[in-house]
Amino acid sequence: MKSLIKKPVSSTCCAPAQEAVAQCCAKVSKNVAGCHD
Amino acid sequence: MQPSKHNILSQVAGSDSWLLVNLLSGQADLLDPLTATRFLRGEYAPELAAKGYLVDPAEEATRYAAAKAKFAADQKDDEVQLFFVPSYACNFGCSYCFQDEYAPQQTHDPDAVIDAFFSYVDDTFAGRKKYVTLFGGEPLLDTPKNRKVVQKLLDGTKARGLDLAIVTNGYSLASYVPLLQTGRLREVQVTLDGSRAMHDKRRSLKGGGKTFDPVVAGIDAALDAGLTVNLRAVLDKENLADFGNLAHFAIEKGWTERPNFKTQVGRNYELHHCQTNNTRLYTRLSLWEDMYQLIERDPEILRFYRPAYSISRFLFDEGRLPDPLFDSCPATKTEWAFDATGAIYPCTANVGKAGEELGTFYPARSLQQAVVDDWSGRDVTSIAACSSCSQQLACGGGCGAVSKSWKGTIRGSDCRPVKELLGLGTALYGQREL
Repeated sequence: MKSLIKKPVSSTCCAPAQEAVAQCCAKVSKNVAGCHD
Repeated sequence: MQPSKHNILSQVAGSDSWLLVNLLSGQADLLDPLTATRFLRGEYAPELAAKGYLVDPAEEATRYAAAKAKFAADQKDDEVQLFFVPSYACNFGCSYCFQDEYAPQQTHDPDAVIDAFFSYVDDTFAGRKKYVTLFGGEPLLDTPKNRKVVQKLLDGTKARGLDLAIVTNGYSLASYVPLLQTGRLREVQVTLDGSRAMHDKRRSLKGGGKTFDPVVAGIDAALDAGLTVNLRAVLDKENLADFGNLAHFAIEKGWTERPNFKTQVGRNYELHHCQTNNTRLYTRLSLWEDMYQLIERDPEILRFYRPAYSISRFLFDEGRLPDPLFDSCPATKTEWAFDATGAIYPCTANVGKAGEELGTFYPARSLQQAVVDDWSGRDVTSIAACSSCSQQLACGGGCGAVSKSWKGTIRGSDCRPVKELLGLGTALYGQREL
């Protein structure tokens, strides 16, 4: 096993929620094909 | 101890290594073939427990609830994107338009509607971080009436300290740049579907007419003026092979070196109705499989565009995992849409679609709270199909509008092929680790 985590991990979350949403939606990309797909 | 419900095990594309990810514990590991085989057989190495891949179910349920509560709290504090559609009129006749069946709508006096929109925003979203996005149709049509509307939205947002973003086809962008510079413009999204011939074939003017050169002139003018341009390409089997040409065009133009230039890709897909030429459409997976092959042949594309491959790019760029994604549908949570008829909609996917209205902001205010609650309660904990899915915290349940269009319910799943995308993304971005 080789860890790919290079930064400390908290028990639940380690990044602002904004970044989680940003996985799917760049902010202005929240138009049809950017976010909803 | 037993395996976590949130373990995602993916074979790395073109490799005998495997990726093991757990969004709830925040861990990601590469497994050699023997360890992966044992894992699949239910034989677990001791260190798997320390990393949250093996869990006490009750303890994991507690962590899940805590993570869900944090997600919900953060979402309430997140910035809201408020779309405003002054008109569904458009000068383009794109071969894949999803609004082509929208009926022309009765509109009111634009000044009165925009005043009512800002008044509604002031009252309803007071205290929330927010910005406005101008959407269409085509919001930058080159007419005096449109310029007046854009001016009023630029002034209205600026007066409130709000940013304005614009989604445009880019045809008249160059002529609008001086006006846009007077506002708080966050970014302009423009679409090019490939190099000149391909773009002109797919995104012509209504009735015919080339558009590539005016759009490129608009991008140049916007970048030169310091405005942020978000360049989007809508891809299907017709134009994917040409995507590299678009990338090289942008690189040669120097766009990719500009700090105010970014890119995104949209998949051409059926949102509300079937397309006539739907054999050219990719599935959610096949697009990214073909993109992977394209990038393997032409890695320079990555200077122009770096696909996310679910959470892969984030993982290898950041050296950590993103937060668990309990909800990928922003509708009525961090996104609302308003149009010139005075109607309120959940999001851009359904703004203007008959029957999707949530209420009105003009001439009178109304809101169907039960429908709003149905949208706002949608997350992976309220979608039955998500509850047993190990990929739920990377997928987020997908799009509520797609689920409603094709399954008849907001609370249906709209699945992402997370496992397969992680296999491709690890091969693409994790080379140094393999």
